[in-house]
Amino acid sequence: MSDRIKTIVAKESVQTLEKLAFIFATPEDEDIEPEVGETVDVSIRFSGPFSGSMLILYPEGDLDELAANMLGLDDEDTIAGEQKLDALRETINIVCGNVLPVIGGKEAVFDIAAPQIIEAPSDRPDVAGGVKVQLELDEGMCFIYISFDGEIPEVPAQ
Amino acid sequence: MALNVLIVDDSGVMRAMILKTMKMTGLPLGEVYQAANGQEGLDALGENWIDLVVVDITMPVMNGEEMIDKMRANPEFADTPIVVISTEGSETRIERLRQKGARFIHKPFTPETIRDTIQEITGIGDGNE
Repeated sequence: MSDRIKTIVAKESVQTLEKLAFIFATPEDEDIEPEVGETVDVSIRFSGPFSGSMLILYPEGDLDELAANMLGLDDEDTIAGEQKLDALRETINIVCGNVLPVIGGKEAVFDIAAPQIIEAPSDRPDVAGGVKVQLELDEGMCFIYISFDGEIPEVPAQ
Repeated sequence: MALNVLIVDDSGVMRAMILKTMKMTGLPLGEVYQAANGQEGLDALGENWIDLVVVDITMPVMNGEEMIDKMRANPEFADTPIVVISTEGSETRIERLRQKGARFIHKPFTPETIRDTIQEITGIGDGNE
């Protein structure tokens, strides 16, 4: 079941980055551990038929491109730090909002909380036992985790 | 006729994206107002002439659905065209918004979806304005 959810998270994340910011990401199967200090981290809580958290560790070197492309800025334009974080918050919001109906079904109603930027790795939600997806971007690896408060839910047939 | 538009979303980046996309589509925009939550949106509606409201659902202070309910309960804004742009994926909730007279666009969106939806709901640009 986790393989099915991994496929869903990877597909929805790739599509979101492409449609939202013209960023082309490639799923990476070889398990890689994130390097502390090389990512900007954001998490989001969801509740409904099942509850849990999503966590994205986004490579800091790719964050300018994410924000600039979402805003339609040119290379020479300055991007404020808050705009970069806002872009990342909106990205996890959209990824999570697109993943949940695929896992839970289109009639399922979920409440998604406001995304939170994580200041220190120790503040990350516990994603042990969840599903991990890795996407290769231009400057580094993006790590996406989804974890559930209980058992990993059954995915309805498509 | 130029459309005066109110964009309500708690993300400044998303408000900028929506505005950029609307400009790309060639829709005739007049004044564009922005608000970060439903209450700010209602305040802007009370202070300005607005032809179209574009609103997110999940926002602090007052969410988009509550803002829509308050607009529909006020005769002054009861018929104002509303487009919801949200990550909402539940057909149950989307249908509830449709029954309140709102059109729905899912994030991430394309310029064509924005253009077509606004043309349909306002009649702007389809030869009927």
